[in-house]
Amino acid sequence: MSFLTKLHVATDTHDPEAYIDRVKNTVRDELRELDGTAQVVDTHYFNHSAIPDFILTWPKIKYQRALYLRDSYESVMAAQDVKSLDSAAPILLSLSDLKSPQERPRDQVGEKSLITDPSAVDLIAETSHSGSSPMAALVRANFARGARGVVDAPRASRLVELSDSPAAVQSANSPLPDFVRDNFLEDTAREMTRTAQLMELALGHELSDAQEAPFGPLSAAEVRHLVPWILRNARIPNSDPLWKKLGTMMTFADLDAIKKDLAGINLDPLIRANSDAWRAKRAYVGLASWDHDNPEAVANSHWAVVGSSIGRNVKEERLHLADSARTLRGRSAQSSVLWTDLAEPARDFRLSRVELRGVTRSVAINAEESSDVREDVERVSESFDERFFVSEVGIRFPSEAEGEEVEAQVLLGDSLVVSDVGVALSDLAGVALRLISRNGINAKQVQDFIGAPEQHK
Amino acid sequence: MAAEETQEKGRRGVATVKRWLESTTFIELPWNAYERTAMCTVPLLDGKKVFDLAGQFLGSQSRPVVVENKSYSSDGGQYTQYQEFLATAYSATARALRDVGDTGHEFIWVTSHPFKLPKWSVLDSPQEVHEALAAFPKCLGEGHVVDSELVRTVASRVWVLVMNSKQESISLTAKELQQVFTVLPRKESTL
Repeated sequence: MSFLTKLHVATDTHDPEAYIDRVKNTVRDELRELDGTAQVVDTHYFNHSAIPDFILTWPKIKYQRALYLRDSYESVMAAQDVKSLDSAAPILLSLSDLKSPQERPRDQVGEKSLITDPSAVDLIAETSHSGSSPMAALVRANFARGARGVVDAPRASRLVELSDSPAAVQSANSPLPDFVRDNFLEDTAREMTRTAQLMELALGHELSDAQEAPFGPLSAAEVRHLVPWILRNARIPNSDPLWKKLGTMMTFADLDAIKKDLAGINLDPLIRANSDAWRAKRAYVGLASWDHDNPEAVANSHWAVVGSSIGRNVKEERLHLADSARTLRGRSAQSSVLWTDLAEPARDFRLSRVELRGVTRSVAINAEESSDVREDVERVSESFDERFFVSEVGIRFPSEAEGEEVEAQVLLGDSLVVSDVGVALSDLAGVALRLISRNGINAKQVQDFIGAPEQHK
Repeated sequence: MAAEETQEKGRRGVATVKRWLESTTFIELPWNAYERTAMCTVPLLDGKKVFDLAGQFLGSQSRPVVVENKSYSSDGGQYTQYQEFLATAYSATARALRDVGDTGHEFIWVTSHPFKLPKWSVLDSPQEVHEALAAFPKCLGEGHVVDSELVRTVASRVWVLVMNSKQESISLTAKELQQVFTVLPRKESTL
């Protein structure tokens, strides 16, 4: 059912409260469909001249956009809404379409306001379902946040047509950049232009001298739509500097947040290029996950999403990395790892705490003054005639801030490495594979699994 | 003036009154007769009346309100229309009492030009409502006997406001209103 039809159904009542509830619910659902990243807050006002019906906000962005519901384009013009509201860059959503092309507002359309209608919103919302290009998805994702001007159905249709064509990005004479500039607010237009540039770089094209790709943080929409496209379609080697550049524009948490969009995609180039720069909070070592029916499946031999986590098979085990405890909980068993087995690989790490559990006694050794308790643990374990199992090990890593350190806890019973503040993926993987894995992985092999390839330029 | 142009002028005038009244922060008027006629229609003892705007007062004593807007550059024939407005207000209130109980509707007459100056100070008096009902008995329908207590109630719910176009320039702007509403709890949940 189209948005317009849903609104017709919603407005088929003479009860004012029911009318408002039904219209607002319909609009809210449509906004969520249009832009899944937007938080839609109802102000509990309806068709007020100054107070918006909804406030739209987006994660990690201070900017918010007010949305005003209006009966028609005519009522927008009669109320001079653009004159009184344009400075705040609102969305003025007419609840009905233009009755005829002649009624399309030609003046008083402002610089920042978006004036649109149900059929135009429907057309934009449909783009990503057909989308071969992330530009189409970004037109949709950025519409509520950054579109401007009068976008009625014909204009929306043209926008969809242009953005959904692969040639729109790759052709030097494409009208898309101008169309984007005309129909989107400055910041959004800049982001979308950057998207087109990043797509070109991923396809191995050089940018012209006049083009300078800005490498600031990616928006949630860009991460969701652009990053999977680049991972799928890139024609550049894993050693290309673009992978590291992309890593500076997003975090591992951003990647973790779009796991559902990454099924079947080889994440090697992005994860390996940024394994020293990106941080994660959890690592888990479990059984390997093999797709025996499809030996070529990327998840068999590359960093990839399997189930609900990002991970990689390492011999007969799988190393999972995550940014939150919700994803990786561990297996809650008692540790059967002896200190004598752990002592050798633990030499590569600075130990801040070790918990030993014997049959007759348990000992916790904490670094109060010393920087590494490994030798203390050795002495304690040798001074008792007892086999000690290790339940927990604390490990210190240098922090990004000079002179400071971050800690991670290795929970051997849970097969987990946990860090509240997060540590570099390479460190987290190193600890997990050296101390938890039972496959005898050495430091060189850890590097082979997660280390960044040599950059070729 | 062409009908379309007259319609457009009327629409703009109603929108201006809506903006002005809503800028007081005490009223919201989401319905107008041009777009949502049914929401602006009030049943009378005999027939019904479509007002220009409908909505409600905000705050702890929220109550419904309808607005009749008149754009005049002189006294014109306003008084007769105003009398009909008063008779309509009584009729609407009596009909509501009969069918659903007292809805508490308030009736606002907004004009761009004052009228009937000798009676200006008593235009919202019970006596004026009585006189209006005598002038427009059709509003009472068949067999309704005027209730003096109800006349007093209706008179207390009638507002006569004069709006000069310059008043908009000293009203709170949309931006200012948005700031004001963050600290004024006119509704349970505001911005």
